[in-house]
Amino acid sequence: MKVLIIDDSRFSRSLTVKWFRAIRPEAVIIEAEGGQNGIDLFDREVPDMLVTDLVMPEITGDQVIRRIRATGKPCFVVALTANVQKKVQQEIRDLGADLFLEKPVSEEKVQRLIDAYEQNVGQ
Amino acid sequence: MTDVTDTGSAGSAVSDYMQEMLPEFVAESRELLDNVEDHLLNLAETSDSDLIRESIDTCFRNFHTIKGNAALMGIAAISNLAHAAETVLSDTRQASGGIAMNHRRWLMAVVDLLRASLVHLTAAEPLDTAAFESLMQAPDSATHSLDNLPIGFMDATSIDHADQLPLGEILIAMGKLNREDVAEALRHQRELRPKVQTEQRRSAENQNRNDDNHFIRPNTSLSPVRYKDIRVDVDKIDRLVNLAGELVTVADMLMHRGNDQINDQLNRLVGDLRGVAMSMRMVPIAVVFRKMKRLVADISQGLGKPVGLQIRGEETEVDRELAEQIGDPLLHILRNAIDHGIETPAERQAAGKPRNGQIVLEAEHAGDEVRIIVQDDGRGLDRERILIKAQEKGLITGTEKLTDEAVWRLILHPGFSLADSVTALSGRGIGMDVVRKNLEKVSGRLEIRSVKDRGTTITLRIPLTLAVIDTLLVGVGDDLFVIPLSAVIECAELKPNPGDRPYTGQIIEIRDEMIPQIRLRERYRIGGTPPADEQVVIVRTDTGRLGLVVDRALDKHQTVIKSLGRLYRRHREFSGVTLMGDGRLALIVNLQQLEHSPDRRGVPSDL
Repeated sequence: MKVLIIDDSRFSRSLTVKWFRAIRPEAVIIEAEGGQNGIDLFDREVPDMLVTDLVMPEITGDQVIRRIRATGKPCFVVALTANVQKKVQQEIRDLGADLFLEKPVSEEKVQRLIDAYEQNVGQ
Repeated sequence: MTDVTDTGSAGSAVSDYMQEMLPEFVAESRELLDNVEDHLLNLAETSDSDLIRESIDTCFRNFHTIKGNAALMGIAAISNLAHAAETVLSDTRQASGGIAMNHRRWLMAVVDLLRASLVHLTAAEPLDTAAFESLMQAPDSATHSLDNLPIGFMDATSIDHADQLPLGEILIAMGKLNREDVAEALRHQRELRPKVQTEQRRSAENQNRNDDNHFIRPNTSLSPVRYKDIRVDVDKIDRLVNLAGELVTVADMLMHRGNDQINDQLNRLVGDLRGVAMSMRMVPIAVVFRKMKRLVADISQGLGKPVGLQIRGEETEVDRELAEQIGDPLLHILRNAIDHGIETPAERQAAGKPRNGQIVLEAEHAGDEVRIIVQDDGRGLDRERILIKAQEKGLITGTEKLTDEAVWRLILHPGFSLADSVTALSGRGIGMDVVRKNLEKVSGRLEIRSVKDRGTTITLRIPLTLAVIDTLLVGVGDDLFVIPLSAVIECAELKPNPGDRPYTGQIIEIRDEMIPQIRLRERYRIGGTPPADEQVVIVRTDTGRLGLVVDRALDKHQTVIKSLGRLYRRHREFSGVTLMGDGRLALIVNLQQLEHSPDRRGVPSDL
């Protein structure tokens, strides 16, 4: 499993990475500190899963999701957000996010996310 | 507004698990708060609606990040306050125009309290719960005062003199307020603070002077917390290192003039100063190695291959930048070692090896570079398999005779994978080419050694990026060059080579050993006639020894490296330039480049 994690907060990103590594030590994890960097890495590495923060300077998470969906490459997309408003969630879902991960991220949430991914891939 | 009473976990309650993440949380939060402060100050100084919007957006985003991170840390008080700040900013954004002055001031108070809280957290002290509660109430309490007017509508300079009457008159004229409002507002303002001057706000000292406003100030600078360390801008340290380096040059100039006693003292002081300046950028590599310990344990468990990790030389100091950059490449190498190198326990037993794999992770200083070595006792690289895969990929034709070293280097090509099938566990990894690219960022190189069934050793060699190195000064014609002293083995006189054309000699014989030679005069197309008594400097390189023929070897020299700048970046034959005590320039010879260039055997002079 290859996972691309985009988050402009170094701290929050490193924790998300830490939990992924704790649960799936064999997963390859790629980190990006911004939207543009994330899109570049996506094109180059073609990850199985993308976890992206939504609120970021310059290129935001929803722009990332839009661009990545436009490539047509299959990828399990998870939007990381503190905004639980139904309307916002629906908008992001319409863009092509498979799942929401509500902030703050925790080990349990990462576990659930991986479960959801594996179910999805199993289908 | 959010629930204000929940400051429960604000005490010293950061869980053990999260405690190790605290420094990173604190460092990033500080950066974000500094940035918020800058933008809040900008807001007071601009009336450009685009800039205002941008500043508000940035503040919003930063508080948003702090909110999320604080929630991760489980510090509800900070998370809630950041959320309140976010709400205020989000409302402001919707309202368009600008930020109300009382809101801006409240946000400043939030920044101060959060900063103070970071200090408390670092010192494992409880947070100032009262200050949090008071701030959580505050942003909307000061209504209907002059403060509430959006800054964006007004000339910023007028605001700075808000206690002067004309502004009130203007506002009345604009129809923004009636006379009673202004009178009330001014009274309120006088109570709050004698002067509103944005300039003053820049000084931290001033912040304590504002204690009389109705937001309870956290006692930032009154706090008894003592820092054991301070944060210093890396740029400043770099400048210090640079200046210390230049001082070395000047001291060198004095060497030839002043009296000996003063010279000795000066040299010692300058040397010490340089050492301290450089050590400020260094951290022990233990910070990286310790993370690897945990990751190796996780990976080996995940793959069902028990592996013992032995760490050596973790006290080795490396540049901070390097410590940050080296983690990912190391992780990939270690992952590959466990995934591809180390056999399963059953395979190991069958091969007569101990059940548990063994990996050694080692760091050491060697000359002016640091070496990081990853050594496993696995099955080793499979020469035949690599050659087959390389042929499939079209990297080689199959007819070449390749040394082992050249074969191993094939795995560094982009997209090269030895896995036969793509599984969840292997073969999808970021390849070794990414490791190589990461290394190039820190000007490092990678060496691979492998013995079948005995294991693989990967050595990362990275320059210490020191600004000052010891070098040997050599002269060719009127030009000066310096060669890193750590690479120099010896200097000898070049014996005339009768019967051969003097300028095309390829091999020289030194102490019965044949060494390839490069004539710097020809290599750098200097021209002129070499003296009869040419000298040769024998240097150590990656693959062996090399003789550099020069007119004369001059002296040891402490060299301050200056980069050649962008214009010359394609001239990789030189790694930089240095200023001599007498004002002349000397180019720093890049030995690796010299060795790897195709015409290393020396070309006949065409000059």
